[in-house]
Amino acid sequence: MYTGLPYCGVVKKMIRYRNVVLAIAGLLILWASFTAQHRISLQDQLLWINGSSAYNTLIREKYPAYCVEKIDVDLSGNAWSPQTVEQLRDFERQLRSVEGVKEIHSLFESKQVVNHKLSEAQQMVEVTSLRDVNNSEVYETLRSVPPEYAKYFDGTRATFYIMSSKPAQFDDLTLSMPYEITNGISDENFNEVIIFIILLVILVVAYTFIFKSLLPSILGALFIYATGVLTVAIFELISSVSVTHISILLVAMTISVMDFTYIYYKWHVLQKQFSSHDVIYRVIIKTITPIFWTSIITMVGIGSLAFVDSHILYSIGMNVLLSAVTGFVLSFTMLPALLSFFSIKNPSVIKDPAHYFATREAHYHKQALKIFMIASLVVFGYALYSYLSKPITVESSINNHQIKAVLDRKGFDHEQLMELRWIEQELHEAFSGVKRVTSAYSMIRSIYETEHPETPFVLRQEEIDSYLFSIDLYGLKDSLMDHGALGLYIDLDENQSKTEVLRFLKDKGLIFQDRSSLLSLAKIESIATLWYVVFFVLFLIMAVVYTMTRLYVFALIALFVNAIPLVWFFSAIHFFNIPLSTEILVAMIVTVALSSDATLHFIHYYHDNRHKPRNAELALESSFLYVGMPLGMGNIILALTFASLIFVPVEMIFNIGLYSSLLIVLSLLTDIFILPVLFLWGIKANRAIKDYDHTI
Amino acid sequence: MVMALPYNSTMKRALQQFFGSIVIIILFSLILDAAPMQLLSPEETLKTLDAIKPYAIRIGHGPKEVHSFIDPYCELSQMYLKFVYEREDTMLEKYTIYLYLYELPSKHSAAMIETLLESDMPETMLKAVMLSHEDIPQEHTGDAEDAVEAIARSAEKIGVFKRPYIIINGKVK
Repeated sequence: MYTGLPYCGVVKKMIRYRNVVLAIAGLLILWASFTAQHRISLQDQLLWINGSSAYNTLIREKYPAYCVEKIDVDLSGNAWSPQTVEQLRDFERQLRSVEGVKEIHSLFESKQVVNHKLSEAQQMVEVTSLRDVNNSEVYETLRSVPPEYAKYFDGTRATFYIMSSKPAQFDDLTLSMPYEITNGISDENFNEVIIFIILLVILVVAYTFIFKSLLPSILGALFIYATGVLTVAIFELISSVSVTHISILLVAMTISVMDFTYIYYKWHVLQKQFSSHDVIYRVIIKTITPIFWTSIITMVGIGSLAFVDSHILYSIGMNVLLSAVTGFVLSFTMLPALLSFFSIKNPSVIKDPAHYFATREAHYHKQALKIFMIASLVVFGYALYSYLSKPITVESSINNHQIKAVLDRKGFDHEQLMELRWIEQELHEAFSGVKRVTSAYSMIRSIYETEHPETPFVLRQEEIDSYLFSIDLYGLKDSLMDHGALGLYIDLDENQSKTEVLRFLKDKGLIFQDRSSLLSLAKIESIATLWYVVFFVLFLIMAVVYTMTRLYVFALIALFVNAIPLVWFFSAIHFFNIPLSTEILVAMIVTVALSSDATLHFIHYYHDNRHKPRNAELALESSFLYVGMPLGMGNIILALTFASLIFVPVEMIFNIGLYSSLLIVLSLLTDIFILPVLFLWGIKANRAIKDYDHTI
Repeated sequence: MVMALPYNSTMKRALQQFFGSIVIIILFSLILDAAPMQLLSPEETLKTLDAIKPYAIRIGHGPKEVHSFIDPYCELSQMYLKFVYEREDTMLEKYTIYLYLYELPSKHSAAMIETLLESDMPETMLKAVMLSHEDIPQEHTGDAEDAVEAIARSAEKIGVFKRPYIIINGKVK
């Protein structure tokens, strides 16, 4: 074993006391395995909503949140008859008895203003519904498919909107007609263990295939399990957020896969040249610097999300931070201690492509690089223009066409009715896709216009008691006010972007109540935070690279390489109008983490190698050998793992698999084909760099 | 020239009469077509109503006063009363509703109005007639004649043209 070299004594001691190290690690893993509640969820909506400013306002003002669910009953197979009406009525009764259901909007509940005028001397307006009307009369009323009931009845379909205090379970409904439920909360149930089994199988197969040995598979599985379970246990111990979204855990595990791959690969390829203990020392010395800095970037950069109120961003930040910390600690304690027990006599890996890549890239086409960089700049310009001119859409739920909100002040006065009037007017002026705004103002106007068709309605301060009397007399208060505040329902056309309407309404001082809108608002809010984090991470990468190399060129290269996949990805999101979702967020975080990982490792090795008597090509080849190979392996394993999730029959997991695998491939291509070429372009001929070999 | 003068003045007069008639017809039809207006200002209306408050059947005990002219046999007045009692928790808590029984000529309810006004339990009786449609014997002694007349006078003064005629803060709803 080396002596007198930096950290040699520490490594020696660790190997001497490796049993103690392993015992401590084992105890911690056991503790974590039994402590972790495995509160892993496929459900991300509450994580998004909790902690968002719109939801915090709702909670602070003590208003309830509602799940708005929509049920379409297909009437095409049934002739419209009083019997059909009775079936629908019975269906609504069943819906009312479902736990948590607070309000139902349907053809039976739809309020219509009718002017009863028996003679000049006998007149009165009534706000009526079909609730207490007998079936034959309902049948007659709706036979001509009157437009005022269009929202709930179009002749072939009856629609029920259900407001419930929690996701309603509609399992026990009986109706002879087919119906479709489109609810805000996904009821997809999938055993998350299957996802981890897929992950494990792919890791085992991939490591065995690459290293032609079972050892990396076993150690890899153990290392990744240890990192994952410790992350979950510590998160549950210190976090106020009670559940962890499965995708967040996958991000955390991604980090540990890369740490393991770098360390094991280095250990594996050095087996031929050094004794067992010397290998451990060399592995630690060679990998600790880049892994330390990548962990710092991950902890400080992505971990900064832990300071955000939003539960989903907080969870991502905390889990990534904890995963980076545990991954780093285990990488240089448990993993070397384990490896010290093994040696491989004939270490082999799949055919090493380092030389091939290095020689090919040494003769890169400058023109092609220029074209690519210009194209990336154009794409960046497009992404920036799109972001500023057209807001990114956010995904909330399928039932995305209704907004329920209340004014931010309680009471019923002229000022508030005027506010409702302005909101309604401005909404109709700004968006052609706003079908209907239902509020106390619209109802009062409707009553007045029915009563006085010849006189235009003017909202008058002195009439306020009269308006309120109408609301009380017709029993409209419950539907127009919520906990003492005036409310409003906004119905949007199917083609109208809800995101745009919500952005518009956000500044109007409304308190949003339906979860779908709260979810959209939480995501809108997160976009700004994510931008800050992305810029912060990019800045951090530049700062770390500069600290490592003291060269601005490397810092700029690091910026380009890390920004390119994100820029292309963001442009694609805008171009294809893909709504923002947890899956995309996860894919972005994975990309940032992997990309920064690769950049730092590559730059560290290349910079180190150029100090040795090696020219640019040789340094590049060496970097490819020690970094390119594990980088490629790790990324391909992760891409395969995420790609395998495409076969899981849950839409969200499918999306995580699709977006993440695509982005990992994109990130890998940038790291393999652009990063090294940028070294040659920016560093090779830069004779200002002292101690470098500038042999051309 | 001499011949033209009387001809012209006759024509002028005829034209004046013709256009005058048209203007009168237009104004008259406008008056007929327009919704009957409340004849008194809100303040005057309230003052007028104050005078007949003792003759009203008062329901509810809320802080806001609502004055309503109704006919016990008018279907829409009955509907109005039904709405009030359907939500009596709110309506009677928030409002004090003064019900003035004022006959619609077509309903021939004068005797019933007097019976109700003379009753010891006018509210109960009113509900029985208007909501339960009970056949109540019309027994009246003439004691309520003053009340009926006072209500009718005030109604005419205010311009009550329909039933139910609901006044809030001195203004017809």
